[in-house]
Amino acid sequence: MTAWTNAPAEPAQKADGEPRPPAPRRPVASVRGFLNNKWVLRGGAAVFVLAVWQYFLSEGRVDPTFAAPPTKVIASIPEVVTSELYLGALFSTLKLFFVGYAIAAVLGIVIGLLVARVKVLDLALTPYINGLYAAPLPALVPIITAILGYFLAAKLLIVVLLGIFPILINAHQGAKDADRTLLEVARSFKASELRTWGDVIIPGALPYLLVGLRLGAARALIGTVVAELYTSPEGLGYLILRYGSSFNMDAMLVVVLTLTTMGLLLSGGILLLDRRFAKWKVAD
Amino acid sequence: MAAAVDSLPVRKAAPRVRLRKFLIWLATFGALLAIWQLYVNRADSILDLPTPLSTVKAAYEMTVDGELGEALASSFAVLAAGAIPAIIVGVLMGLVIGSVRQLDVAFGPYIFAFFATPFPALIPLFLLIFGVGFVGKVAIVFTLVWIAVLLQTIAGVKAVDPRYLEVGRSLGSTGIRAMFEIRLPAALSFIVAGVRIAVGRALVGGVIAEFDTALTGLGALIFRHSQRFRLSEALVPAVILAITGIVLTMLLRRLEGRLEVWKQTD
Repeated sequence: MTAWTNAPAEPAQKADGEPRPPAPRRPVASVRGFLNNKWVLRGGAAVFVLAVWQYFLSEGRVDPTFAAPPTKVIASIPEVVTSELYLGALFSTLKLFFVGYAIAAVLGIVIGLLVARVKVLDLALTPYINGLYAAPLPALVPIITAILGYFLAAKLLIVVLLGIFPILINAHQGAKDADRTLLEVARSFKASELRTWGDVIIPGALPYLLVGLRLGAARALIGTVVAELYTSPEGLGYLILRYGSSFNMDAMLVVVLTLTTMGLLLSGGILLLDRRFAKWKVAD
Repeated sequence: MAAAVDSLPVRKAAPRVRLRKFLIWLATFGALLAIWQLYVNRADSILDLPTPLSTVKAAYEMTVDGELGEALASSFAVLAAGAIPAIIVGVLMGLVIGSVRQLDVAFGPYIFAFFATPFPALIPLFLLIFGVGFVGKVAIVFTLVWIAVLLQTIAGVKAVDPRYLEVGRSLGSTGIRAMFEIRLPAALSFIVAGVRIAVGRALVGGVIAEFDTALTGLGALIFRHSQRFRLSEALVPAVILAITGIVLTMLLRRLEGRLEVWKQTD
């Protein structure tokens, strides 16, 4: 769901292998070309936003207690990110995320494929799976902490609950869309259920699994932050609360930006994987 | 690349099949509730774990003493006050940014980065700046809805078939007119999808902001009752929120489907 797309790179050769005639050279120095350059535009937008932000804060339009002008935020990055407090918090957040996400991935894929293959389960459980995906599950956090306590079990449950449904639903869809012809071939050769899974269903579902894993990662990260803010504060969530309560807005924003970066890296990383496998599928 | 699916397919089937499906659903629902009730009755817990029966009883009591109605009114006022302006602003901004290539190239990455930020991290910041009352919560809901609708509107406007725009141009529909006459209608199903994504995020954002204040709204009810281990009472608002999310998602998904059909027959 990227909102912008990079123009695909022009292929150097035509499909039949004949080299392309060299493109006519555009005048490099033209003002128009400069203003249409992707990086110039993006840099300009960044400067614009930062300038507006700085202007509003420096003129005292906002209570100075909450003022975190960009110059101050940027200046505070090196100090914050090298502090032991920050590194420890980052490590603990990553640990919670990856353990919870791994559990969500394994359970989601297994349950999703199973529900798709077993008709009774499919009929019985589909409405609940859709319902739980649409429900605002973090509303359950206080109840979870009342039952499970404030520590690891509750946190993991929150991360898994949020992360599992996109993975499960896409795995289910992938198995349902498995090539019917291949399935029939497998059946007529009396392939065992296990081999059918290994040779037909899982390879066919792979692109769906990757989409599910990408959406699930974003939600599991949300779950991680919720768990860290609303159970016993820990990790980057704890840092946000701690800096917030001492009105250290610059440092607080650095932590928020760290989480933004994690979100981007996760979806970007899985998207790369997705492209790779998508290509492999086409070439197949 | 496979298209993202975010719900299991529920196809329209013949009435008899639908009736059978409904009966299976009903049977499963009854069985799940019965298992839950029996499990808790047998379980030897120091906690007063909620059961279906105790939750229904708690819902009745909370309705009678007015606690539930008050919280509902407060939460839905926040949602409406935040979401409605956010949808309007998001659609208008999306139309402009999606129509002007340079704006899209310039601001697209930042909009996406903001959308990719795990939003609960922003809630303490918003509550600090805008206060823990009505304004703070409205600001959170507004921002969450605005960014999702903006992102989807841009995607929808960019996906408009260029032939429509060409025909429009030759008939004198350009600039702002084309924006409203051609781009907006063509992007509608994307916009509705944006609202659907936004609803989920806004419900979550609103409810966890109410945990922080613990004063008004459904989130505060969940939080306060959980703190006193009155879990049946805590479950009631959570179930209401779940039903709200499910019903809104279903309705918006149906609307989305309609709009897509309209596009195809077009």
